[in-house]
Amino acid sequence: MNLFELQDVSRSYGASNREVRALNGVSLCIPGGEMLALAGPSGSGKTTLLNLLGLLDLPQGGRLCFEERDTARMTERQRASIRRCRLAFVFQTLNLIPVLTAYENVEYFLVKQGPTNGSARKCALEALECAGVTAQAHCRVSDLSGGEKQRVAVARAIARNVDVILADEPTAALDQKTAGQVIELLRCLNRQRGTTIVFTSHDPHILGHADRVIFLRDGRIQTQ
Amino acid sequence: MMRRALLAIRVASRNVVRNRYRSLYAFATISIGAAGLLIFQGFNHGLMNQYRANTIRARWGHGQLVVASTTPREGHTNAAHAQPAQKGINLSTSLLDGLRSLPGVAGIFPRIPIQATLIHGNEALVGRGEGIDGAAEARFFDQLNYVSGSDFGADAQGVVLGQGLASGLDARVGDAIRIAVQGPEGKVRSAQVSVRGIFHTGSQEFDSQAFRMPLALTQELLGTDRVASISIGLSNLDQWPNFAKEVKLRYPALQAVPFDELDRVYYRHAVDWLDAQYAFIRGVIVIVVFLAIFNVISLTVAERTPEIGALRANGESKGEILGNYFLEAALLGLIGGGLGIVGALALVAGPLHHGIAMPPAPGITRSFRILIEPATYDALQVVAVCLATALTGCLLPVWRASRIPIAEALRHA
Repeated sequence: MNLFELQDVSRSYGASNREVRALNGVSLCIPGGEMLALAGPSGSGKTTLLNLLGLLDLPQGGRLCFEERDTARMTERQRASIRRCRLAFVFQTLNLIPVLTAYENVEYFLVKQGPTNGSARKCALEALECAGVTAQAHCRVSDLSGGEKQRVAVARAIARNVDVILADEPTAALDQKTAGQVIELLRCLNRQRGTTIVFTSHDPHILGHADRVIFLRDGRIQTQ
Repeated sequence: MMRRALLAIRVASRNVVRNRYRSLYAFATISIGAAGLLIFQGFNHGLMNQYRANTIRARWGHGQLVVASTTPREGHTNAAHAQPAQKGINLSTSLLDGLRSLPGVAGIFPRIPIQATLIHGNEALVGRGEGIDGAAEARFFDQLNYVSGSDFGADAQGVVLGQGLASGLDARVGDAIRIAVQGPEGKVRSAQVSVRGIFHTGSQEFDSQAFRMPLALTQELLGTDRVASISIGLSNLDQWPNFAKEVKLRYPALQAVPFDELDRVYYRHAVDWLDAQYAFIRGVIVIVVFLAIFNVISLTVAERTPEIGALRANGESKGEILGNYFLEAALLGLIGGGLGIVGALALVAGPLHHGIAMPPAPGITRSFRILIEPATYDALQVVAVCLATALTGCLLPVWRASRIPIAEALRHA
């Protein structure tokens, strides 16, 4: 069964006279357990596609199904519930709560998801260890470096044990070595747990880690 | 659930102090507003307490006993009030002893009004006076202002005159005057008395007619054993309800009327007037605090829009986002209000410890010092006002924030 199925999906922004077609007739299937990369120049529609896959936005045309359920027919509450329990996001920046420590950032969504006290703590610490940021566990994220922040974000996704991780330019602000470590971490998660990973990147080295790379241009799929 | 609540409080409390200068501005605005409210309310209490003490000790006592009305519509100004000599309270030793034995009673002061012609030399004026127990009243009523002389105390032939009346009669302390009154049988009765003091109350109209003379002499002139009322002095005002209850139980023919009912025109209206003033000032402060909170939360929301997007992307619902901001606003209101109360109490204990000197209040001739007397209830009310204002102030910005589409919120980064 495909986890995501997109049929002729389109999405535009702006008023009708200055409309920008971010996605234009995109059809795509993403099976569970795949590590998929989205590539393309700026403005090609990568982030828009990622937002649609993450149920952050709805297509204006076509159909997007998550586990064969049309996302446009879901209520906002249902979409929020899927985002909370099944999906995790790793953004380029600003995806952590700056007033909390690395550990608290991981724990925050675990507590919201509802594990018991003991298991939340254990999960958080294990995830931080897995992401290699145990030493920074009790530092405020505002005091961490870009690479450390990104690893904490990945640790958060690991701890939540979700089915899908959507990462928008997860390595863009990182040096090559750290970028390699972060993408390895995601790869490891994909292999060990079967987590579906969808990420965007410009970097050919990073794209090389994916099972499949989709190139977008002007809102259309150019090559797969 | 508890863990979630604690986590939410932890996040909210850290967010509250996230931007130090903005937090300082918000806390300062709220706490200054709260302190202003509490001090003003404390001032009002102090003013009313002082004014009440003056009113009680100047004329009314803590209340009066009058002949009970037969219908509620009559109030306390019934037929006995109009014809005290005929229908007033029958003053007996057992009644006086019984009243003295009631809990909290510090003094009882029977009174009867008298309308008489006062004659001094060639001058004769009609005055409205009162027969009183001079010695007893002198011990309790210490707020009457004497411009010369003093009360007549135990002098059975003494009289005190209002300043206007004394002036009209050209009478001075020590002068002998004659008081003439028409007795019950139609004959004119009169007595010679000696002026012991001249007083003023602040009311020119009242002072141009008022005089006080011994109760026994007044009753003799009026040919009655009755009195119109018995003023009551208690150890403190809190004892009035119990006293009134006991009177109702033991003396059903009598009616206990509290001083604020007797002095409705001055006291009650003054209280209402000050309350209205307080409500207005509270309104102004609430608006200032509201705008401060609105400003702070609006800036915070604008600044944290991408963060809101990230939280919602990770499954946080609109309700949870709203809850987070409400919690922040509640903390701002509670902490700001609390700081304001601490500040106000520090001011009251320090620079304002000796109160504020005030000019004479309406109906009172003496200037007095108002102590700032904030009550626990006022402090709670101030915190509640700060909390409610803070929550109201964050409604609009937070409502707007919750409606921003997630993808758009993330684009603010």
